[in-house]
Amino acid sequence: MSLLEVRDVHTYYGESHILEGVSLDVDTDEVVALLGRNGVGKTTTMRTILQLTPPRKGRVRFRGEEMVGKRTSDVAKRGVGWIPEDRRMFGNLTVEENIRAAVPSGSDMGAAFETAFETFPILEERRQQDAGTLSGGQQQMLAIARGLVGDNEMLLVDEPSEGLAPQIVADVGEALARVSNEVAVLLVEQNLRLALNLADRFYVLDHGQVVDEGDTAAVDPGSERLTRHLSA
Amino acid sequence: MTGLLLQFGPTALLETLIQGLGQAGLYVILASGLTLIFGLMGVLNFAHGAFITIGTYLGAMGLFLLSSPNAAGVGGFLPLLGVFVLVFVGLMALGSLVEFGLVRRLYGRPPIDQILLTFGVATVLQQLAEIFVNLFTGGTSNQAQTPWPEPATYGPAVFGENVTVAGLAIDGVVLMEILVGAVVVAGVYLFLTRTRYGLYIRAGSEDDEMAEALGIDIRRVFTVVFGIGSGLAGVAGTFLIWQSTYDVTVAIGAQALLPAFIVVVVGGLGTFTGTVVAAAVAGFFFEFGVLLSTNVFDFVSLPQMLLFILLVVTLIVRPTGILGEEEVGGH
Repeated sequence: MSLLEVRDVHTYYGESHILEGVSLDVDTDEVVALLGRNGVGKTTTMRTILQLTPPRKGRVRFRGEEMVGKRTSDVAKRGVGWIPEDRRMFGNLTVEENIRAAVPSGSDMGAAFETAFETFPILEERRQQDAGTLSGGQQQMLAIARGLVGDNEMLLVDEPSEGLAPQIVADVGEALARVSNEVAVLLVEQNLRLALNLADRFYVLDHGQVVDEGDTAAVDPGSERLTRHLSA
Repeated sequence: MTGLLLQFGPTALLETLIQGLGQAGLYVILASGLTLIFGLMGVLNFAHGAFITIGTYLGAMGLFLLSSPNAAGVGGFLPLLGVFVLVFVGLMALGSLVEFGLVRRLYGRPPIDQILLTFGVATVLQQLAEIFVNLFTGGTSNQAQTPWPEPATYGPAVFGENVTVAGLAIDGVVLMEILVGAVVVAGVYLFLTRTRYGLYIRAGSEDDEMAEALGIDIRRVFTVVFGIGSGLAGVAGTFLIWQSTYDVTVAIGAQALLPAFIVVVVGGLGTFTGTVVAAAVAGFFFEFGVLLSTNVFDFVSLPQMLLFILLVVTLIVRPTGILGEEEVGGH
């Protein structure tokens, strides 16, 4: 049994049929990349797993437990963290408060800060700064830190390199590699090289359906197998 | 303007300032619930006025039960504290029930649906209050609409008198409004900035979906905030018992809702700090209007008119309100 099982999921926005029977698995301690052009349903897959956009049909199981029908906060409490595409910081809250909001009640707050600041020392320097005033790279680090301190077993990471300078992308990639030693990751990433470097396996989505899957070791970013689905 | 002010002595001006501070304290208590509910939930709660009315009558019953007419000394204040606690808890429970049973079904729907629902809740509660008051008094159908002065005779004796502070004659209830207003401001501020729930409220105000994805049960937070907002409305309603500008009738909440909305809009929708600043400005505008209308112009509605001028000028000059980020009507 996989940590996360998505089976024949159909998700709609209004009457638009976005996911047309997506199935995928993520195992414990595994990094799985979800690849595809813009608008094929990658972010919707993450929103469906989190029940932010619940499916009309299909199953989402985490550790064998059905998530469809649960509230998003209940899915999160079971150990599914989300690092969204546009980071979605609480801009008027400080760095410290953003981290604090992500720590489940009853968890060790001191240990959570230690984890966050050990992983991203710059965040400790900016501890009392409003998150909205951080640079894009620092906001991405804070978004990852929030995922880290949430006692999560799995992180859904959506476009972590989007809009970042190349050097910052390398730093973020390094941080995600460290994170992936501790939790399973489902990664959506347009930067193919970064995605294949981090991931063990991949799925390719097209028009709301999984059209290919395999081990990342068996493909390279320029291979015809990937580019036919990913090039515009 | 300077010439106008100079014709009053410094004593009259200082007394006006302190009266204005008292009015500001009352406005803060009246408007805090509205702004907290709008800030987190985006709900313009028209039932707030009905909660104020119920707070007035529940407060009156609490005074009859716990206090005595013109109670002197500390003996007058302790029962009053008990009445405030009773009203706050009672209205908090009622507000939580309304949110849990009705309002939460309309989250995610257009704002007009929530406005219509809370307006409907206000109408039902208002009618229930009217039926209850008429039954309780055994009176005619217009008993609930007839001013009821008796509750104002209960509570601390000092509420009906002027207190001399540093040579200034200040109405006792004004000093209490300043004190309770300050306690509410400090209490809400500390709650928002020093507690886990406060953190959740501020996070949810910015992005409720992200807060939910972090494991925060935002619906429970909504219920708590609606409850606290309603509790504060109830305490404000109790205070109105001693306000000379309000009569105790079932319409008292609807009457008080207007300045509360003005304060919330002038301060900026959903910002608590903005509400505090706007309450101070509105309080001084109101009392300055009272000073002018009793000494210069024979125009009793001047204080209320000044509040509307403040609202209109704010909407023209700064449509987001003093500290708001979103324009009124900008949804």
